[in-house]
Amino acid sequence: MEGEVVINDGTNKPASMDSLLQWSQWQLIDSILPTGGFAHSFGLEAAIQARLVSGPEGLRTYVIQVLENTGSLLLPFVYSASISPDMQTWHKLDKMLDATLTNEVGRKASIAQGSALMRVAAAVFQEVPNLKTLRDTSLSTGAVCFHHAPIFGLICGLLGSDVQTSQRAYMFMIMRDVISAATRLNLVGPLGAAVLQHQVAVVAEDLSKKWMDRAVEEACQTMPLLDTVQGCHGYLFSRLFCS
Amino acid sequence: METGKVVVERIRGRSTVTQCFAKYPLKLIIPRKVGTSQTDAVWIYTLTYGGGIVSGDTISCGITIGDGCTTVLTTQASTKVYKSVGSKCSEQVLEARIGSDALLVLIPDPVTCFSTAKYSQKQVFRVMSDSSLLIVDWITSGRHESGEKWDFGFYKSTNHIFLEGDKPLFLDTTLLEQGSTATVAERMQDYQVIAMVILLGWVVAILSSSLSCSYSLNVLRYSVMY
Repeated sequence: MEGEVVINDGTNKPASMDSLLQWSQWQLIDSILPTGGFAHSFGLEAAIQARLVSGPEGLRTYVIQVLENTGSLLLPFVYSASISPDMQTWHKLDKMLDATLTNEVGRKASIAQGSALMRVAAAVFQEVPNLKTLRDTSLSTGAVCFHHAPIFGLICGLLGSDVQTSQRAYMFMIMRDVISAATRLNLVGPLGAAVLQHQVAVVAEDLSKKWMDRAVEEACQTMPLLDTVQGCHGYLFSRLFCS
Repeated sequence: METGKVVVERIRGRSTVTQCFAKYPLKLIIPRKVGTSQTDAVWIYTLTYGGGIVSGDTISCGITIGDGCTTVLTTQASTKVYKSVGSKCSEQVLEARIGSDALLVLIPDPVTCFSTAKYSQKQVFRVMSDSSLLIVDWITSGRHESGEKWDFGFYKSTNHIFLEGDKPLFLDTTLLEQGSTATVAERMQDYQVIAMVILLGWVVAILSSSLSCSYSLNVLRYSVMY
């Protein structure tokens, strides 16, 4: 007689495992996960000071542009890491991304967020011992910068998330963080931010579909103005955020 | 089949062109008297017949700079990319090998894409640990006297630098394509030029340190340079 576990015909995995995965996925994209994402504005603070963004309409445009650039530049790294979540692929992707993030502010932010995410994931998802092993080995060899996008893909891949959800989740996280930064920069109130986030979700979905499942050789940046402005973050006299 | 090829080697203590080949639509001119007689540098001008790149043209050029040599690669005028006919994309590819203690200076005029033009360029530089590079890659918004501002269909520029074979040092691709969430003009706002300058190696170290001192927040307001 079968026990409590019900077999899911589609995947041959017990249905309870799929449900547990959802809890892990939600925890991974919850802003309460201590990965330090709240310290970065994705160039928004510099853009406001440079008068490239003002008001709610400007913010909406900015968020969409950040999402497009995230899709074109970083989603291929999330994709490649999630379909092949092993040490060799991760190290190769990390080296490539380090050479690709030519904007030093963005590069440092990626390393800070990636290191924090890897540390948290290794401690939280203990049912995946690979995470801790990968992290410890890479720390000791010093061969890896710990960039954010490949690590996010790696974690999703090791947890068993499907590739499309992982990429969508990455776009969601970026959108969440830019809008959250906007509230703290007083560009929009918390309720307005929530409304904006829901409205932009439609565009975010289109952009996710457009840029997902691409090889890293195709990674490109599509918003040069944004990239330049973010690179100027270090010149700001007074600033709230790290990037 | 390559459209062009140049090899520069050190002959009797001076940078010398030992191989030079070009075929339509590429033309290479190597004038002897650009620099002073004390300067050891080969100057190469790349030209296109008819002054621009026609829809569907493919130009691929390979250049090898031998150890200890200095070479300047530039253009006679801005690279104009004419309108795309039948959705064809024009392409330029440059593969450069820079030897030990050698310097390549790539300082072309900017690319100007006409309305509906489709253009893609790829530049791959393979360097040694003591090579030097000075690369300028830039694009204007178009023929703005005629009202064409960021009116082209597709522009993609790739610059890759690999150290000692295959170690990625610098990987950058900029893609500007009309449509999707915003037109190119909308995302460029009031800016009419994008320029990228890459400085690598000991020869350009002095230049790069003086550059980073003079730039401040004014960079945001008056130019786009990164």
